[in-house]
Amino acid sequence: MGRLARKKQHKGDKPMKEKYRTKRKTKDLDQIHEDLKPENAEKLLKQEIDHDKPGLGQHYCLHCAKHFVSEKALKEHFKGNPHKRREKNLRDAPYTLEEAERAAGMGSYTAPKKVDLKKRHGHW
Amino acid sequence: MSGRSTERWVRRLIGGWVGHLLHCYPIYVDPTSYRDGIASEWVDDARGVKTTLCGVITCMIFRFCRSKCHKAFKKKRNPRKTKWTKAFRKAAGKELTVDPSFEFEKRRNVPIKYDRQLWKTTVKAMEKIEEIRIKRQNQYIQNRLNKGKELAKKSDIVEVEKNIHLIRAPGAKQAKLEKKAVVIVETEQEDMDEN
Ligand SMILES: [Zn+2]
Repeated sequence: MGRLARKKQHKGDKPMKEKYRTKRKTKDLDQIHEDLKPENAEKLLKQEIDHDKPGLGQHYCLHCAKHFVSEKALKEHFKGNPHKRREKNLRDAPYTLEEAERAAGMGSYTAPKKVDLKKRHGHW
Repeated sequence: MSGRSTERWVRRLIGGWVGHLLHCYPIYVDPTSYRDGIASEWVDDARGVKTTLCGVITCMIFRFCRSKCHKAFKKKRNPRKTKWTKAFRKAAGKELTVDPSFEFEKRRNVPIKYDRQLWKTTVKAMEKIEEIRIKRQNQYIQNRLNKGKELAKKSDIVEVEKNIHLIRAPGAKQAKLEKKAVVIVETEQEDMDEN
């Protein structure tokens, strides 16, 4: 094994560091489900002008919890795969403690329905 | 700490997905018994693995029936998508889901004044209900499996009907040949008689 090959064997604590890094942490899926509720969605889609956010905080994708610089960039983003992937992941309702209990035999269990995203936000 | 940064901190502790886990895994703590949020099985107090996440701030205690569940939790598995959990089996229709026998055991959060008679009858009823519930659950699984047997039988019949030409009784060809031979001999004899 050469010097460089050996070097590649050990990554140190880098993977762990990256795992626990919160610098670029975005919202988790359950938080986004919370955001998708009409009353929350309205607030997020009509934000006040904030000079610290990209595009002054005027072009926000609810599903990806991300600001975009322009309307055009947002539209482009909707067409892209990352957004579609995120939509697909959001179609599963989050698992809840209540569901866990029902699965355990405390009350009857009904499988959660798929979330209808189109109905819940309707901003394009 | 403000509420928002607390949540961020909690989420960092188990590397994201915490919020999802907060109300998805076993948070409920009961001194004697509780169910595990992953396997959805009863956990004895002595047996449970206890994980406290930032106990000072949110006082959340996660308990698991075995290390298997604890590991699954740490890997941020979704119980609904993990094959061995109750949640998966019920969501996939592999087990009985809706039945009146499930309605007895529930967290009602209604305080009840101690009553010896009520206590006695409840304890007595618990056994009976458990027995009935298990019977019904087993019956459900049995019925589900019977369906497979039926289908297998049906497909077997179809297969035999389709491919019957592949099998012939061992003596079938021999008998046919003999019959032919007999016919030939007879006709020959008839010919000879005529001549
Ligand atoms: Zn998006």
